[in-house]
Amino acid sequence: MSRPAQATAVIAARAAAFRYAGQASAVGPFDFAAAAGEFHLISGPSGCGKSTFARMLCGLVPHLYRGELAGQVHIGGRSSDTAPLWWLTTVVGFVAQNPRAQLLGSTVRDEIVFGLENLGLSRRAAHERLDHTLATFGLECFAERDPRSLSGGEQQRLILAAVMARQPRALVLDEPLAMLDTASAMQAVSELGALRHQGCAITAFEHGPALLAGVDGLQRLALPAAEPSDEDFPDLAMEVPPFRVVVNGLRVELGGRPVLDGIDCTLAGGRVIAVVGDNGSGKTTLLRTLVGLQAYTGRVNTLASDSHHTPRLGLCFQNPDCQIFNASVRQELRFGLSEIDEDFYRSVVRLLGLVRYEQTPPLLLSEGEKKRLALATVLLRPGLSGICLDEPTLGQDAHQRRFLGRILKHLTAAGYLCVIATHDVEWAVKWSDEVFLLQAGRLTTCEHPRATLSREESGTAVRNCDYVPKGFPLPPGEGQGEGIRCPTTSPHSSPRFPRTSSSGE
Amino acid sequence: MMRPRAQCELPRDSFLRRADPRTKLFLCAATSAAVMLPLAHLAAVLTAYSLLILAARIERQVLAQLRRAVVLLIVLFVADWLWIGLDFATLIAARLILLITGFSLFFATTTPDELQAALEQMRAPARLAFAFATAYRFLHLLDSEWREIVEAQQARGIVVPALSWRAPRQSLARAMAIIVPAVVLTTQRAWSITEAAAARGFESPSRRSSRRLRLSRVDRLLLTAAVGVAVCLLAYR
Repeated sequence: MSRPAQATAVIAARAAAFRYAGQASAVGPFDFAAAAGEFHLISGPSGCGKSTFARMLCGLVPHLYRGELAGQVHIGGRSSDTAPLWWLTTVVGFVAQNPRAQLLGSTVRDEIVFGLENLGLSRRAAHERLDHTLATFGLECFAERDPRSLSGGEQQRLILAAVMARQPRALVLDEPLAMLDTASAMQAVSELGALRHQGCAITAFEHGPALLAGVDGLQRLALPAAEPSDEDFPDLAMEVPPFRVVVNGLRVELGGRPVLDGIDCTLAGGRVIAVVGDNGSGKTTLLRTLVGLQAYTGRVNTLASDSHHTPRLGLCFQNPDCQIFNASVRQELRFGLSEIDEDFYRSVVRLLGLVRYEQTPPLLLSEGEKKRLALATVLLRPGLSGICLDEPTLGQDAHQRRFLGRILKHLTAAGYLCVIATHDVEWAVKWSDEVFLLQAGRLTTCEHPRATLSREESGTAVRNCDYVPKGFPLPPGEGQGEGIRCPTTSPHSSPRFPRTSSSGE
Repeated sequence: MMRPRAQCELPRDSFLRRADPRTKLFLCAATSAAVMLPLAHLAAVLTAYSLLILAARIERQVLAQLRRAVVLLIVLFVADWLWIGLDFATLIAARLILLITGFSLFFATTTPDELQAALEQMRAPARLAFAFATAYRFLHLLDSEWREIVEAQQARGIVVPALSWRAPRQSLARAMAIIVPAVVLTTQRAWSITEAAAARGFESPSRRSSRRLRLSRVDRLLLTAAVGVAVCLLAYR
């Protein structure tokens, strides 16, 4: 990437590179300049240095990170390595990927006030600015709420408000849309567009330009990265007998509030089923219920063609760090397994692209590799027939998302059931066999991804979270808007199914 | 210490909720110091403290706190009664109850930001006040994170049993399945907070708290009553 540093730029980097302490290679060098009213989108795949570069542009690197900064980064006319960090933050605001991890206050009001207190404003000025910020970002009605009780989109808006209340001249955002559902992401994009019109220099780092592409006057830049190599995809040395999971009248309550209600559906082995919906719609709870981690009322029956086989599902959590703890990938994969089918082990390790990392400590893997490792540890459980993955594409670049899709296709070819909770509708449409749409705890649509895609292309749609469960014209051959059309077909059709069932707690 | 409130739950409104955090800190410290009093005086303090708890409508939280220590209390009471006597057993039980619930009054009626403001106004360094308030704010997350890790390991087939002396190595290895992720997640969270605070200028030398704490009439009344009780107890000791 090369852009000449401009004299009028709020942020300017020239041959800027950073080498973390203890690491041989450096991130960079980068040239970049952002002037008032400009909106830059810097994209690139995972591991190309986006987060480090973002932190260089706001001064967190080198102030908070140990290492060597080469080249020059000027923020508000001062060199970032000599100016104090607190001063740099008055010029440039920074918003990281996960809004929940950045919350510092007990109430929305306290969250915004925290940054204002650090400016040394008088109490009166601080309160005036607080009221103005609450009104500007539409947060007045939340002022006394605990920020952790807000939705993901509202939390992101709050963090943006807390940063912008300090009136910085520039804003750096590290994957600001990664944790948001589509509707919240679209709202965040429009808010960023409005800030740009007010003269703020905005620099956003994202894997891909999809959601930000429509921003007026957007300047795109790409960080260079090595071409990902094509992975080898062997077949799994395992065949899962046909089975189905039939859910009837499922209801889950958390804290006295129904999170899932009246769920009826059939999930067949050998299929990828994507569960989509807004943040808080009950996607994760549905997965937890399917694997038996959540108490419920209603019925969840498993129907297996082989009477000796009791289908069981495993779950990969959103954060793979919850599941990995051993000294090497090999130890991690073999932990707790009394008998290991070596052929199956080798095929899983090869399928998930972990062969070269077998002796590597798991905590040193990238986020995508950790997610694949967590998937492998679950897959290696004996007697497993299906897997549930909670937001597996979160924060993953296009290559990693494609890789995951291909892995799932190979698993379903071996008869596994794959249930994926995601707010990444594009990925769901491309790689799943069925899409289940959850809205406020209710399953409003079960359909073939083509129908979802068709609705997306037609303009209304999933992208704007304007789901049309009934009466929407579907493409030829898909019927005409019957509303809920729960799947009943399976590639492994017609065997006799002896019944094993569970209900309630 | 008081178990933190459930996530997203702000304290219920009461006169103690509205009282100055410094007053509440003083009351709690005085109550905890009262454990050194003899039984009769201790009973008076316990009665006064119970009335305050009822008035603040936080009896549910305090009882929940006591429930967790009830086994220990019973064992100590019975042992002391058997080996020493009823008076001593009652004294020790009363002291423990006061120690366990001593700061409930503060934590059930005060938000972390109010704690931070109180500490800053008492001239504690901003860093220290922020560290205390942040630790208090995130205590409840440790509990939910721990449960999430246990479930995540269950989902991959690892059930963490109670420590078994018959197979200590295996027990320890399985305990690591919880401890290592807990340490990793806590460190990640601590780093995110550090970054978020630094990105909003936390180290600024011109930092100025926007909360101005002032002692109200209720505060003065509470402080006077606390000091009065303390003087009386000392005088009649």
